[in-house]
Amino acid sequence: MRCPLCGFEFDENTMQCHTSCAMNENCAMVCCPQCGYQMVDESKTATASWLRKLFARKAQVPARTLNGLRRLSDLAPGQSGEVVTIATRQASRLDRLSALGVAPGSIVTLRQRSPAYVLRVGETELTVDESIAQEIFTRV
Amino acid sequence: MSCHGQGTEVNAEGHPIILVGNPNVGKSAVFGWLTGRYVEVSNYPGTTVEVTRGTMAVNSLHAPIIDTPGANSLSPRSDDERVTRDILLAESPRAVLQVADAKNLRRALLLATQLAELGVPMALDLNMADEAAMRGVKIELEALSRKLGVPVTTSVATRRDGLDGLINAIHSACPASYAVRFDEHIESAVRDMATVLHGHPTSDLGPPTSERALTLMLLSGDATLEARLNGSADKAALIRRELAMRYADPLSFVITRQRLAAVDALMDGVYHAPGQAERRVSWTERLGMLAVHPVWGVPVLLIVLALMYLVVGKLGAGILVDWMHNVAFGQFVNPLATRMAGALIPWPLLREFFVGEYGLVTMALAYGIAIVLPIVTTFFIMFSLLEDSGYLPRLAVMVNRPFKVMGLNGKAVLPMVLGLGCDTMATMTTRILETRKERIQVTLLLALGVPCSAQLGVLMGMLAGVSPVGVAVFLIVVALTMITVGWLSARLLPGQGSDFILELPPIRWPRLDNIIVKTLARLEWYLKEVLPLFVLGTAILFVLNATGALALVEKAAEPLVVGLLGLPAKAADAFLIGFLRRDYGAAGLFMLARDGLMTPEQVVVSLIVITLFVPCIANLMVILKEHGPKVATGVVVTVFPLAFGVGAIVHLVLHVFRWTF
Repeated sequence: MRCPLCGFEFDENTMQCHTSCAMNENCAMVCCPQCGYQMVDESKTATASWLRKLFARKAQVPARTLNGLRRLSDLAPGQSGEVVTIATRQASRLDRLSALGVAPGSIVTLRQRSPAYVLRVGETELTVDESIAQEIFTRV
Repeated sequence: MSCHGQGTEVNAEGHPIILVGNPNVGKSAVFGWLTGRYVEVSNYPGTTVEVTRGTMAVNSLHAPIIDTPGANSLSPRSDDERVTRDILLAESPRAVLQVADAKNLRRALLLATQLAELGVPMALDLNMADEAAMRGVKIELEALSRKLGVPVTTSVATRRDGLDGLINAIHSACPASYAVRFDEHIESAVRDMATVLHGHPTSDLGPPTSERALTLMLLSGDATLEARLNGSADKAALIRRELAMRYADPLSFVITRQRLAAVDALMDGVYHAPGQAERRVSWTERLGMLAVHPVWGVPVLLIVLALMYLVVGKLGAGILVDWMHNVAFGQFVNPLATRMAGALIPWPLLREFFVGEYGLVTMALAYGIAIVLPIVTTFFIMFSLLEDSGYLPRLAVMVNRPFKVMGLNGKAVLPMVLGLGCDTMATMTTRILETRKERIQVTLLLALGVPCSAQLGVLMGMLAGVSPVGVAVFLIVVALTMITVGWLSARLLPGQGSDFILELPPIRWPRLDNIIVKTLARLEWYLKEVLPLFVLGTAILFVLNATGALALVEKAAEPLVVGLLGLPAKAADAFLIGFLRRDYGAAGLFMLARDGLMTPEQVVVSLIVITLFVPCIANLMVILKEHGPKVATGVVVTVFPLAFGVGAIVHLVLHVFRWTF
């Protein structure tokens, strides 16, 4: 790993403080051999990984289009598109969307994005979460 | 409206007519239209889903008639759909009448093709023809009837328009000649699956005509159906898995997509709708769009809330409760019961049980009928109004974002709003949420922070005596606690939330008979399920009081209340009572404040504690019943220390910074 203070690269697994220090087994700290800076070795502590999970951020969705298709979430209100694919493997989600009429081949119109996405398919109006709107790819 | 293919003349009088349809198509209106006064609502065995049965007695047609819950598909994804499917398989119907929303023909035909596969005599009723006409939708009934091979009629059930067509359609109902042809792989799997069904020892799954439907349901991955195959379940699973391997998408989706393609071909030349540009937008549609507008939706929401406050808070909790409590019970029932008990019961303890401080009549019934009943009645009326008008899902849209912060989604607004009426009732309503995690989360939040109407009135009365800053502190502390607990529980509880996908039905003028029926049905449910809990709770309290246990707890709690929260010792009594009866607890504090025994700062601290405090005993019993002892313990262990802890912190902060209101 790389020391954030001085930039020195070293292998934390062969560190003195990991092999011969009295705290050895229970210590989740790593000391840089060059400058002595102490850091937390996250792989050694359950608390740190638990806290990380607590504050985990959602993965960012790439904005660029996929083969000329646009996500429903990238359409402008009032724009229509033909659904080409729905990028999820969750059968329950696909079943609910298709039973309401949202399936490849259907024409959907985006009505609004806020406070929630509202779209129209045929004469049915429905609301979906942003994460679901991001999975519906359309050809405009 | 002619019948092609093998027309069946089912003259058997006992066989029922079954109504099927997507949700929100006016099926109940058609049912009400065709049946007389007497209908019977019951739970389908083993479920909480309600099924309505009645007798159709119109013109020459006499038959039992069954109304099923709304279903979008017969490959069930919810209890409602499962029950609809089971009813269709179990009862051999004389006719299946599919009620459809004329303008949403595509979704209706998706269901119709599945009904066709069941091989039952069927007819299609395109209801809500007025809305379709208003939107410029035109459907060619003859052509559609020819393509499907079943009678097709049209109606406006709310105006009792189209009865003759309906009767004729039911008379000439016959199995559809139309069948969706899937691709060769699926059709081949259907044949294989049929062989498995033939080999199945008992054909208790459904009548022979339903074979195609059963094979397709099994291929779509219906676990409950597969389980009923017992020994043959493995063979069925094998066929399904081999077919699934051929496609990238889940099999159920592949099947639905091919169905939709077939439906689109059916609709070609039959269904005409104006393009986006020529669509005429009615004022109800505009109102519907306004209700979910990012800016204008907020005042709409506030108006709805204000209306609820007026009807439930002022009329229900104010006028009606006062009358019930002071006049009906105060002047008539209580004195009468006390006199009767004095005359008929020689043992003082038993007398106390009925009319004493924790008496059955004087406390349990007084609470359940005089205080809670008027409030939940007015609440149910307002609620049915919101439901019937179509506003409820729009409310979910407006609150979706804040709810997401708490790890829930807009759908949870329903039980939360009901909690403002009665937390006990609302906890039962968490059944409608899809995942267990969401149900537990909402139960926890209800128990923690949502004040029921019994408390709200007193709460507001007490806050009136505190400066605006104090009120703000109270609101912020409670809101922050709820948001934090919601957010934490979302991260820490195992399981998943559900998808936020909701249909927004058109805004409609609510119908009086619908509201009355729904309100009465909900009242009946309240009387049968919730009221007994108040009685049971009071009985428990009576025992605790008689044995002196209650006094002990009070003594033990005193140092906590005085030392940690900085409140007068008498407040401990109020908190204890608050666990038993929410309004008594709040009222106890109110009296302390009114008598000048608490400073405004103490008022705020005590209100924070009693709002966050453990749920009333009836609510606790519902939690126990619905979610089991582990969850109930978890809720109490979380809420109790939190209420005192937050109260203690606020007291400390106010004390240290010498803040006054």
